Amino acid sequence: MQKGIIRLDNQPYIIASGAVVGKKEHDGPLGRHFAAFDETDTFGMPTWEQSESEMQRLALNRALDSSGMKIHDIDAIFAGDLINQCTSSGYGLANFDAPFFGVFGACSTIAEALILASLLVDSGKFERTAAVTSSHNCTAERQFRSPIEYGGQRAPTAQWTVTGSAAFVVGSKPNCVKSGEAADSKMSCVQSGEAADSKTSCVQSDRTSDGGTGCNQSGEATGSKADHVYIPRIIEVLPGRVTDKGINDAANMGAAMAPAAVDTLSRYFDESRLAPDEFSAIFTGDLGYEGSGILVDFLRARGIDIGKVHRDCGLMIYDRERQDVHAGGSGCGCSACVLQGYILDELRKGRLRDLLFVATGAMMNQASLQQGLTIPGIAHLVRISASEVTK
Amino acid sequence: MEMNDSDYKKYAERRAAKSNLPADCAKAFLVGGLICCIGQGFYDLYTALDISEDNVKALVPVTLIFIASLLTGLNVFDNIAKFAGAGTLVPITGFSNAVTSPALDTKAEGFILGVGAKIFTVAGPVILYGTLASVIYGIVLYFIETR
Repeated sequence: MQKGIIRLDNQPYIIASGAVVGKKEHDGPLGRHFAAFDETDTFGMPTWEQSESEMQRLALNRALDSSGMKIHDIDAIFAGDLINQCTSSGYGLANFDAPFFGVFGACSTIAEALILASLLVDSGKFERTAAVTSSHNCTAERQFRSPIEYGGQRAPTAQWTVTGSAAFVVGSKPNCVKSGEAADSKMSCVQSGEAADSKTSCVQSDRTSDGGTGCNQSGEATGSKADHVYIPRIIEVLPGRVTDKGINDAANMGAAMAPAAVDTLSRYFDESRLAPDEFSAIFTGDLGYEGSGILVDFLRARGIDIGKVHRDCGLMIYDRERQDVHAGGSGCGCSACVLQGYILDELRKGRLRDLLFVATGAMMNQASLQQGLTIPGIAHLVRISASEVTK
Repeated sequence: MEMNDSDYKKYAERRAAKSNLPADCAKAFLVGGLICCIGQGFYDLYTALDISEDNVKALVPVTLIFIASLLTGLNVFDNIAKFAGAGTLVPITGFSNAVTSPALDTKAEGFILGVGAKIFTVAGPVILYGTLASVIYGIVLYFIETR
C-alpha cells in the first residue's frame, strides 16, 4: 500500500541554515531577513552559471559557520538546482568533502532534499545531513527562456526566477543554533563541531531583522522565558506525486503546479484529520498569484479552507507592485530562501509554532515545451514545528 | 470543482491575468512611431550631407541597427522593449536586438560553439523563412514579368 504521511519518530532538528540572495531579492519585502547578498548578482564570478555555483558554496558555508560546524560534521549533502544535470550543485559543492546526492524536483527541490535528509537522519543511518539548493535568474533565463538582453515582454502570468541559494543542516540532536547568520557577527556563543551534541546553550536572533544585539534576543522578542529557546524540527513529511492537468503554457507555471499542491494538501488533511486553522501557517513554494488563487479555490471546493493561513513564498519574496515580477517569484531558491530567511527565523523566535511547508515544482524543459507536451507539477510537504528547548 | 484536463486548462486561461491590449497598442504605436521619426531624421540628415539616395537608403537602417545593438549591449534596450512591446520588436531595431542579445549571452561558450553557433537562435526563423519567402516572391515575379 502506498505510503502517505511519514511521521518521523525522532523528529530531526534543523540545526543550522544559511542563505545568499541577489539584489532584487534583497530589495524585496523580506530583504532585512537576508544578510548576505551581492549587488551585481555575479558573486564575483565571470559567468552566471559559476555565480550560481558560488551561491551554493556561500550558502552552505554560512550554514556551517552559523553553528560552528565543519564539513566533516556532515554525513551527506542533498543538493539540486534547475540547470542541466544539476551543475550548479556539482560545481558549487565540489570542494566540500562530504558524500553528495544530486536531487531534482524543479522548484520543489528544497522540500525534496529536506525530506530525504530528514528521513535518513530519522532512521539513524546519518547523524547530520545538509540540504542545499539554488536558482539564478540569469541562468534560468538563458536555459529556459530568451537571451538575457532580449527585448521581449513577459506575460502577466509569468513568474520571476529568484536569484538565491539556501542551505540547511538537519541533525538528530539540537545544536547551538543562532537564528540569523554568524558569518557577519562576532558572537561568543558559537560552538565547535565537537560540541554539537550538547544541549543548546544560546540563540541569537538575526541582528538585521530586529536590531537584536546578542544571545537570547529571541526570548525577549516573543516575551517567552529567556532560558527557553525554540528549535525547528521536522515532524512529518509527505512526498508529492507528479500531477499533470494539461497546462502547456510555460508563462503560467502557477496553474501548472497548483493541481500538485491541491493533491498533496488534500491527501495531508484527509489522512491527518487536522484542520488548516490548527497550523500557524501553510506556506506554498512558488505558486505565485495565479497558482495561489487556484489552490485556495480548489481546496475550498473540497471542504478544506486554507485561506486564512495560506502564504506563498513566491508572493512574499517580491513586491509585485514595485518590482515588476508579474505573478511573483519562482525557482529553487524562492521557497528555500524564504524558508531560511523568514520562516525558520519566525520559528526560532517562537512567532510560528507549527506549519506546513509545501514546495512546488514544474518539471519541464525547453524540448518538452517545444514539442507541445504539457507541464507536470509536483508538491512535496514538510511539517515543521518549533520545539521549546531548555538551555 | 473537480474537472477534467481540458476544463482545467480553460478555467486557468479564463482566470489568468490579461495584458491591457489598448494600452499596449498605444505604447507600441508611440514608440514604434518615434523610431520611424528618428529614421526619417537620419534620412533627412544624410540627404542634407549630399549622400546619394541609394546610399542613404542603406545608411538609415544601418544606423538604426547600430543604435539598437549598442543599446542592447548597454543593458538599455530590453528596458525600452519591456515598455514598448511590438513598438521596438517590429522595426529593424527588434531584429538587431534579436541578433545582438544571443551573441552577448553566449560569448562565455566561445566564438565558435557559443557566438558562432547560437547568434541566430532568436533571429534564425526570420532569416530562414524571410529568405524562403523572397525566393518564392522572386519566382512569382519572374513568371508575371515574362508573361
